[in-house]
Amino acid sequence: MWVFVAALLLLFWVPELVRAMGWTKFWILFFTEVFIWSLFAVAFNLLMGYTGLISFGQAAYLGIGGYTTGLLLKKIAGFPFALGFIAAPVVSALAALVIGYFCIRLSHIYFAMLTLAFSQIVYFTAFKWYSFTGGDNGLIGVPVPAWVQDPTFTNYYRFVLVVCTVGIFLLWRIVNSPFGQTLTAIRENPERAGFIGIHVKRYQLYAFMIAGAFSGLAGALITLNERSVYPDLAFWTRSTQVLLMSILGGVYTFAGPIIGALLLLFMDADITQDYPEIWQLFLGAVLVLILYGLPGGIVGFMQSRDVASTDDAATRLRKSMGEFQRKFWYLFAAMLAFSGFFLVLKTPSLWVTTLLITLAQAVIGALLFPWMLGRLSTLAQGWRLVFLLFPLVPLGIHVLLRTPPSGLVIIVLWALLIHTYLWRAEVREAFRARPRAEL
Amino acid sequence: MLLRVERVTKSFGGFMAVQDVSLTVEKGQMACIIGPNGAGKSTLFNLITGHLVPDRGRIFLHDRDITGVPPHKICQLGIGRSFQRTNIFPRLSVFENVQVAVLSHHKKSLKLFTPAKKLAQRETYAILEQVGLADEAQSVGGTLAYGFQKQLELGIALASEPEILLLDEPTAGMSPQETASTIALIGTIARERGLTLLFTEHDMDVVFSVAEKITVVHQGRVLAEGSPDEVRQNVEVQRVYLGEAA
Repeated sequence: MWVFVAALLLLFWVPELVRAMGWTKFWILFFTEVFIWSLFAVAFNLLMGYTGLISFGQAAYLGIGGYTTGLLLKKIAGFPFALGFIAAPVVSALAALVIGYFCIRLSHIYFAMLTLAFSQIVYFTAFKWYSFTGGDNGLIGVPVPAWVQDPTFTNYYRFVLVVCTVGIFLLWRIVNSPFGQTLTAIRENPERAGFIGIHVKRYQLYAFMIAGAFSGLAGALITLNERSVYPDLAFWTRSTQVLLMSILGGVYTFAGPIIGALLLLFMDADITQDYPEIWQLFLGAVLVLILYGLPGGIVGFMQSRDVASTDDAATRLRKSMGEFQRKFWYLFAAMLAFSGFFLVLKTPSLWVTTLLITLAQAVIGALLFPWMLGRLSTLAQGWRLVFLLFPLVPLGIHVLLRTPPSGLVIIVLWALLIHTYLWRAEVREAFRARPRAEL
Repeated sequence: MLLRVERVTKSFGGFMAVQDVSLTVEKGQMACIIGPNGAGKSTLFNLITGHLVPDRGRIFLHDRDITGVPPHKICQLGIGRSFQRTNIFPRLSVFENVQVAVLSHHKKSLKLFTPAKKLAQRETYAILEQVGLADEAQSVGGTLAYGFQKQLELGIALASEPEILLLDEPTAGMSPQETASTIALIGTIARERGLTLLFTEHDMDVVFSVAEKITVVHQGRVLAEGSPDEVRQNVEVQRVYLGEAA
C-alpha cells in the first residue's frame, strides 16, 4: 500500500525531476502517454483477462470518447470543459451498451469479429463524415482551458496522472468486488456460472459497458493531449496494440496491462528512435517469444506456477528450483538473441565478430551456469549472495556492448526473477533450515 | 409434489432423445433415474434445468410452471445441479469457487466496489466444512484431485441453498471406495439440509441401496417406475437393463 502511495508521489514530481536533471520534455510526454494507455489497457483487460471476452475493437470506445469531448468542446462555443470531459465515458458507455448488446449474443471468434466490425463502422463514420467529424482531416484546434496548454506540459501531466490513477483504482475495486469475482467465474466456466444463478449475458454486457466507459475516458485524455482528434484513434491497429500490451504484461493479473503498456511504449520509443524500420519486426519477435516462452506474460512469468496443494515441502522446493532454472536459461537465451541481433544491426560488416562474441557468451554460460545453479541447489548461503548480485554481470555486458536500452528490460526481469525467487517462502525456509540441520 | 415433469418430449433433428416422459419427485425423497447410455437421462436433466426447452410437455416446481425458464432463473427458484463432467471454476481458489455462488445466492453479485474477500466468509466455510474441503480452501480448484473436485462441485451447488438437487452421475469415474464415501457424504448432507435429491447413476449397488424411488428410462421412454423392489421385479427392466448388468 505505502509502496503505491510513494510511487505515486514520485510520479507526481517527475516533471520537477526532469527539469532538475536537465532531461528533455520527451519524458513528461512519454509518461503522460504511458498513463493513458495503462488506463486503456486495464479497461480492455477487464474484458479479456477477467471476463474472457476477447475484443478486437476496443479502439472504437477510445474514438467515441475522444470525439465526444472533441466535438462538444469544438462545436459548442463556451461548452464547460468539465462537462465535455465527463461526457466522454458516459457516451462511450452508452455506445458500448448498444454495440455490446449485439456482440455478446455471439461467443469466441464470432464475438471478436463482431467487435472488430463495429469498431470499423465507428472508424469509417469518423473518416467519411466531413461535415460533422471533419473526416480524415480530423478535428483540429479543440479549445482547452489555459492550464492544459502549459508549455512545460506539467499541468496536463498531473491531470492525466490523477485521472488515470482514479480510473485504475476504480477498476481495481471492481475486479476485487463480488461483481469482479462473478466475471472471473464467467470466464472460467460460463455454463456453471449460469447455474449458480448468474445471468451470464447480462454480466458480460455490464463488463463491456464498464470497459467502454474507461476506454472512452482514455480517449478523451488523448484528445486533450493533442488538442485534436483523428479517425486513427478508432482504427483497428489501436485495438491490437492494447491487446499486445495486455498479452505482454500478462492478462491474468491486474498489473500486467500496466507493465505491458509501459514496456511496449518504452521499447517503441527506444527502438524506433535508432532503427525505425525494424520496430514491427522486433515487435513480432517479442510477441512470439512471449506467446511461446511466457504464456502468462511478464507478470505471470514472475509469479510461480501453481504447485499442487498436496505437495510436501521437499517437492515444492524441487518444483520451484526446476522452474527457476528453466526461467533463468530462458532469460539468458533472450539476452544473447537481443544483443546479437542489435550488434549485427549496428555494424553489419562486423557480423563475424558479433557471432564470435555471442558464441563466446553462450559457451561460457553453458559451462558456468549449470555449475552455479548446482551450487545454489545445495542451499549454501554464499551462493545465494552470488546470485543476488548476479544481474550486475549482464548489466555490465549490456553497457559494454552498448545495446539499445530495451535490453535493460531483460536484465531487470532477470534481477526480479532471482530476487523474487530467492525471497520466496519455501526457498527462504530451505536456506534457513539447512544450517540448523547441519548442527 | 416438489417437482413434476409432465409428458415432455425433446427431439434433436429427428432423433427422439426424450419421449413422453413423466416423472414426479416428492419433498425429501431420494429419487434416481437409471438407464443405459443414451437413454436420455442427461437430456431430461437439461430439460428440467432449462438448458434445453422441451418440444412438448410441461415441467412444474411446486405447481409453478417452469417450462422454458432460463437456467439462471431456475437456479434462483431452488433447483441445484451438478454436471456429469466436473464443473468447477478451475483457476479460482476452492474458497472463491463456493463464495462466488454464495454471493450470487445472496444477490450480492452486482456490488461493484465492495471488496469481495471478506464477504460471506462464514457461509462459505460452513459449506466447505460440510463437503470436507475446509483444509483445501486456499488451493486452486483445478489442481485438486478428481474426487475433491467432485466434492467442490457439490459445494458450489449447495451454495444456492437449493430445495432439490439434481446430480448427474455423481460417482462417474470414481473408485469403489470413492463411490462409497461420496454417496455417504451426499446422504448425510441431504439429511442435514432436508434436501430432495434426484440423481442419475450407473452403479446398481449404489442405486438399490440408497434410492427410495427409481425411474428406469430406455430409448427416451420411461420403462418402469417405483420402489427399488418393484423395479427389481419388473420383467421389462430385467430384460433390457438389469440382465445386461448381471
